[in-house]
Amino acid sequence: MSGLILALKRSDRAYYISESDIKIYSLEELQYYIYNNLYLVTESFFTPGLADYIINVLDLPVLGKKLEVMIKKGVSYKDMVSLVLSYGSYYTVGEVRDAEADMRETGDLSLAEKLKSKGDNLVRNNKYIQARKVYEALLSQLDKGSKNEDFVATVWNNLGFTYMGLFLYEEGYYCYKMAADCKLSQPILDRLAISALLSENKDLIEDVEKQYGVSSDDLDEYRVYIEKSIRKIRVEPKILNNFSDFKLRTKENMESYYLRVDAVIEDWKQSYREEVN
Amino acid sequence: MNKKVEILAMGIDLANDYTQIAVIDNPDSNESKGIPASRGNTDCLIHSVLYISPEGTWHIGDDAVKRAEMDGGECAEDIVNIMLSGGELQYNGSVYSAYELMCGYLNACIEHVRFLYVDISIKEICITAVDNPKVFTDNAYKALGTLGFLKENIRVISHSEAFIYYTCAQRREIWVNDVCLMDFTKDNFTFYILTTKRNSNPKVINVELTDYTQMFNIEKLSDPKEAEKYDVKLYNVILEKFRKRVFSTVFLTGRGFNAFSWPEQSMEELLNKRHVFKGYNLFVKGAVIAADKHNKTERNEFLFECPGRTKVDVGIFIMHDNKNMNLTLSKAGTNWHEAGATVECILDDINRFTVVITDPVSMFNRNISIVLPTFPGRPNKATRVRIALAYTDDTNMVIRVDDMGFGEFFKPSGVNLVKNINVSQLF
Repeated sequence: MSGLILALKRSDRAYYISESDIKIYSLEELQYYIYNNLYLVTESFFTPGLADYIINVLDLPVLGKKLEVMIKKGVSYKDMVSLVLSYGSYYTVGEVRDAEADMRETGDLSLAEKLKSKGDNLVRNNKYIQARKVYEALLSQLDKGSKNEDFVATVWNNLGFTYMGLFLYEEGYYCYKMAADCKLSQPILDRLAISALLSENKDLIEDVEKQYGVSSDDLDEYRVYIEKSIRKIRVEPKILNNFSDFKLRTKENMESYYLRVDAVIEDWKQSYREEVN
Repeated sequence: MNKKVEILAMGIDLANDYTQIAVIDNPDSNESKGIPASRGNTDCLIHSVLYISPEGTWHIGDDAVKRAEMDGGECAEDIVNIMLSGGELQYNGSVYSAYELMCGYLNACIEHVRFLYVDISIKEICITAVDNPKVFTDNAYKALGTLGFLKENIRVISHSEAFIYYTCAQRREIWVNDVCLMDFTKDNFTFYILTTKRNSNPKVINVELTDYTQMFNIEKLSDPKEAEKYDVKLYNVILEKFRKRVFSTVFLTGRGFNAFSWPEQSMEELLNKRHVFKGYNLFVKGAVIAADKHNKTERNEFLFECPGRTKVDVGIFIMHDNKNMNLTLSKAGTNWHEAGATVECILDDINRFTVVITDPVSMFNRNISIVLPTFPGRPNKATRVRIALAYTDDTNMVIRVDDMGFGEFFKPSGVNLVKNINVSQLF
């Protein structure tokens, strides 16, 4: 349901969230933080200090006191997340349910696994720029001595996939190289070859031949595969529908046509703005 | 009158010929007292003249005239008109803006009261004048703020509003039917009719004005023959205005009615089954009643429909508690300067919002769609906006939308939108 949501009080006094080094000043900002950082929220996030802030600074005694009781009883953090997200009109019932489902899926995972899961969700929703940031942040943490090579290889592979989604084939190649360094497998090898060919960078193609023993015949087969894939994509219904918006329909006047095209472009711009922010 | 008092409410009527001041100083009584023009005097009409001494002190009324005589100087006149129009006073080689004039004059009024009472503290204050245009009202608030009054204790109202406040404070028989007020000063002759609609929902008190300044000139009343002609003219006005209406009371204010002995024929007609009152202090008493917010009278049930009061309810559609609702920002019948409101909202997948403007009596409404400016790209529900409504007079309002960003996640962009709406063009 879209519209203007009546905002609750915004205080001049902040509440400091140490997990992310950020200050919030209203319940909506707290809700926004929790919803977008579910993987970071655990029992330790909900403190008596937070409950006190909600009661005395944000003037929300009903919510604050319920949270206080839950903290004292040692209730699961998932219930406290649901309580906070459900208060007011900022998140809809459906959005809160999505967050609850997310928590059920990732609730028992380690922080690194939760971050990867967040990145994977973003990729599934075609939010490649945000996914890239998540994977890179995760890899910088794993750099500090992770012994799980399989996990690291998967993250590098997924980052490579993200770069490919952004048509940054050379960057994708280097990510697949990092994955191969952790653990080389046939799928990684395939992706190395495809990314090198798509990049049209002779150095990368030479690297994949020399470093990974991919023959010229193999490269020709990959080229055929790429051609077939491109032909297939061109006739996919989703792609055809997108292009149909740009076709002038029978008996359609130009004003209506331009309005329709502008709406599609505006949608793309909005998606891009959301992505880069 | 040398005693310390707490003034609960003070009213000041600023007219171009006379200034009047009245106070309520007794918490057990709603009766107001007029402040005399000078000590030992019963006359409460303070000449609206100003004298600024060589030492820089401001004097008003009789005090100004005396000081000017002693110093061989001159008094400045027409000062209320300058304040109303936002003009300038050129006096003794200096130029005073309307604000400076307002500040100095009101301070002199308060000092006048202090001089008579010795030591006073004033809680609430109300200024009334023939009209309350924006420049006059803004300057009055600013000046009184400078003089130490809190904004919530200040009111500025038109003579129409003062008339309503005064009438509603009288016993019921005075305003059981329509009430007429004729105000005759050196600057104007205004005919007011106050009508009470008790059976409507909401209950309404309406004041309509007719300006007869072109027909009546106070200077001519000193000539008996001209006064006789005016009596005939007034009699015809009364017949026209009173036709098919029932009036329970007539008030006659201003020098035109109180300093001259006329109008005989008109008075005979007016006194026919009606209460008739003559005096000077109706508006100032109305002002002091308006200042006294603790005074609960029947007027609180009524919507005021008169110059100086807003004509419509203004609201916006919002979501609250997961329901769509019309949030009222301003009610009809509010003093225009007090009618503003501010609300903060979060944008949920919208690029426009709807302002709903409703006539409170007919319940007709107009929806005005306001397209929001393009804010910097942010995720949905990560833009907080401040929507502020303010009136610039009783028919023109301004709606301003400011981007507040979203905490530390997204800084405010400085983008804003201002939309002017003229209510008289909508219905």
